[in-house]
Amino acid sequence: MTDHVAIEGVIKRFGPLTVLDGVSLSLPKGEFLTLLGPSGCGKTTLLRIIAGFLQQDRGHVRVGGRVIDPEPPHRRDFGMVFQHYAVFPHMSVFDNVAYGLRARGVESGEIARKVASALARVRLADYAQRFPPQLSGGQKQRVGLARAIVIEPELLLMDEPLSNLDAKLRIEMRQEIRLLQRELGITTIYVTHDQEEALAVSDRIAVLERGHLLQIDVPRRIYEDPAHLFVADFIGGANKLAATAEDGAVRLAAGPVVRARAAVAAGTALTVTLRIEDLRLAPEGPDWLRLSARVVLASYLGARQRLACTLSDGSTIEADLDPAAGLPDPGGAIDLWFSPVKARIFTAADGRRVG
Amino acid sequence: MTGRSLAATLRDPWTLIGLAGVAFTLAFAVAPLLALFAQSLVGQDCDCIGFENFEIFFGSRYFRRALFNSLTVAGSATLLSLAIGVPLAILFSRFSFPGKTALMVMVVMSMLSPPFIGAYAWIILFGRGGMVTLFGRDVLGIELPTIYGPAGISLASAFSHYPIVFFVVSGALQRIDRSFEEAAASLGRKPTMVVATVTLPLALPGVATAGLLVFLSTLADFGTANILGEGERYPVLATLAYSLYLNEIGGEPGMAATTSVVLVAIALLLVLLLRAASGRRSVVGDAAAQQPKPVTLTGNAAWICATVTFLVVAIANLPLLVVCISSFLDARGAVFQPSFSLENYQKAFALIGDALWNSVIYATVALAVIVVVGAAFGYYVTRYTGALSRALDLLVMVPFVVPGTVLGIGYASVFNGPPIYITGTATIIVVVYVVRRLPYLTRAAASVVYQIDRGLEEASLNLGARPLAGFRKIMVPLMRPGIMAGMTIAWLEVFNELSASIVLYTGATRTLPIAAFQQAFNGDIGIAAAYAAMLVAITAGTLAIVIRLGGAEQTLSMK
Ligand SMILES: Nc1ncnc2c1ncn2[C@@H]1O[C@H](COP(=O)(O)OP(=O)(O)OP(=O)(O)O)[C@@H](O)[C@H]1O
Ligand SMILES: [Mg+2]
Repeated sequence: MTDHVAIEGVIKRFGPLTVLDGVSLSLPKGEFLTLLGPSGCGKTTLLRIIAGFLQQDRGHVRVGGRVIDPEPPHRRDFGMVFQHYAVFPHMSVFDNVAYGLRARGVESGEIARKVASALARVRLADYAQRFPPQLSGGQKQRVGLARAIVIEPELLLMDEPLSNLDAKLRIEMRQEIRLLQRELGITTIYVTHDQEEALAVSDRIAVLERGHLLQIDVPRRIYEDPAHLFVADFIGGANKLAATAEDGAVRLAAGPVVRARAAVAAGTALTVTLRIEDLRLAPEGPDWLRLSARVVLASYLGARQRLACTLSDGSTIEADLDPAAGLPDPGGAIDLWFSPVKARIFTAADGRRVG
Repeated sequence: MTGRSLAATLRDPWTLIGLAGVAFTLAFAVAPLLALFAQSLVGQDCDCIGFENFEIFFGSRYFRRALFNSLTVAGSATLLSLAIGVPLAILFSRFSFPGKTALMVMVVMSMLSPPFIGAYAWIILFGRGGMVTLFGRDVLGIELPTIYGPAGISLASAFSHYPIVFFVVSGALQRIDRSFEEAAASLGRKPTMVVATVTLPLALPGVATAGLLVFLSTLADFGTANILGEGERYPVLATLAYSLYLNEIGGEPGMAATTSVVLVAIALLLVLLLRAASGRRSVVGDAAAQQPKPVTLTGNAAWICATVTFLVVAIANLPLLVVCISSFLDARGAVFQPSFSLENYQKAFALIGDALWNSVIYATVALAVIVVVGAAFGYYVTRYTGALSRALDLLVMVPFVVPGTVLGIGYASVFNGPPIYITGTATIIVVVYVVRRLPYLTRAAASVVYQIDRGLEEASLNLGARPLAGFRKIMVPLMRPGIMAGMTIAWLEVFNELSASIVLYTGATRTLPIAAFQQAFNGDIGIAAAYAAMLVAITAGTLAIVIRLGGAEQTLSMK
């Protein structure tokens, strides 16, 4: 598969601060790639470098194999959707969507046709003559989206386009965006710090932390097979249990041996992660392992109940359980079971995946 | 807040402040105007009420000409200063080029001299006995056009007012989030087209406001028109009102008042028109907007921009330079000689009397009052929503549409007897200074308060501080940086105030701008230069101190 867009070794510094530290990634035509990471990790910076609003200190951006670093933004042919919509307040919805077509000198009959079809796609066909101050946030963002797709860009860039919308609308819009992107086959880079959103919409997710690309993979692998402790923790949340590498065993401080070996020297301090939904009150297979715990707090969440417990080594662990099993009493002792297959092992020092 | 009882409202100290504010503005801004309006309605021969004076005004070619002159001069000065100020503001806020910082300093410097000093400097250069005129005649053998008349007034006004445009439009540009321009660029527009289709339209409210400010200020500018229009030769409404007022005893009573009313009506009409126009489609600026990174110009574009900007700003600074240099030149008759001496200053000091001292005292007292009262008013009109607060908000802005000369004439006719008898005193000068500049500080303070989180004060009240203590301890420190800016401008304007005080001064309350104006208008050209240089030097000196103190304060708060 040939790469349509490629980022190669991009470094960006603001004064003494290195915001992007050698980021490389590439995406084939038509892919929906999400940049995911905590606030301040450099997502916006990377997106703005791709768009041409910022110049990187090192590295290149390629489109179709061609380096586009010297191209100013207006010659890159990338559509962009902004967090605060950036819908021109002094132009009607129609004029907003027509803006990029006019810049390209498209003839007016063609403009009318394309704008109408773009507005229809974002379900704003009846709003063409309205002005932005008369639109809701969700409608403004749809205008922003229509404006960006109507030019049929090489690449669509979106910087947290949904973060100003309320929770329900966010879910609705992200589905619309995803469907639209599939239909049109536009190569897309989407920025968010919402891990659930990223899992829901992406073909692949690139996880950034402090300017480093930690992992780039399909959502399922990001969740189930994190390459780094940070990824395991940031996406979905995980219990972190202290462990040590011994000769022929990785032993939890709280008791059981979870694995025969890890790719580290004996004596190395490790962190083992277990997802909260992977814990049970009873074993479901012969190799399942047991943790003795004391319940600190039990919270009923409707479909699930969440237990917060302490383990024998004093560490805390959370488990999501079926409420049908009944609520244990706080203070009571219980056994939590898990399959060792679900345990992920990282070095405690730098979070590298070692098993 | 809706259910607040009357008793609670009355107990709030801010209600008292609001009431006092309304009373003050009614007495010192509204009453003089009403008095003028009343006078304009009194007939010539009888004491009957009617529009006879307005019939005379609009029926006479002379008055119509003054009206026409006023509008053309203010209109062309506005267009010119927009043509200078808007491109400069866009250039400075969106691009980097060589010498940008130094040029910025020069823009600020061109605000230092009051407009009439600029006018005077243009005469030193291009007047009948002007240096350039004489050089053209004696050396080159060509007769250059002189600076007197409408073109000269417009040019001089434009070059002294373009910084208003520059700063107002720069402020508007700062409130446009970069994402709008980035969206336009990502959709394929070239930078110049982005400015034309997005930046400028979004900054339009700012451009309109700036235009209005320049228009009102030129319309009201008595000094420039008087000096470059040579008094009666090229009359405009502002100079006409003044000379009619001086000749009232012999001339037609009520005509000064009538002219004043026409001036105020024009100003009011413009303000209302602008309001109606901008109310229809308001583009809300975002105080927390992120600025686009200025594009660094390279090659020819950079040098062309830097050179053109330098030329424009240099022309605007020429008056400053001319006045300062010529104050050290020997003057013979109406012509400067190419030899240096301190003679002008010796003569100037011999004649200065109390003028310098008066200026310093009046301006300082007025400034102190303006800052304290303006901060309180600005706070009150932003944080309170009742009828009293809305009334104060409106009333405090009244002097904004009243030319200084008009206000002066109003004061002279209202305050020369009970209940308030202050004509001829220092008090009347200080009061007129305060009333004229209070709108600026009130607005500056209001916009600062508007941006400060209400929760901070509520926290203070919640922790048991009394309302005024909360204001003093929480709001005043937070408002200070914003107020400093307003205060700086108020100081420049108050210290150089001419058009109202020229009507109200007496021998004992003469100020430095008045002395400078009188010498420039028909006096000794050398002494005029010396006074003008002193004005500029004091303004610049105090400004430098303020900036230094402001800088020191900032470094302190950083630690
Ligand atoms: N112009 C700038 N000058 C200096 N530092 C900057 C600048 N722009 C961004 N930074 C810093 O670079 C880092 C990355 O910023 P960036 O905006 O890319 O983060 P982000 O991942 O988009 O975060 P968020 O999710 O909060 O939007 C931050 O630490 C930020 O403070
Ligand atoms: Mg961001």
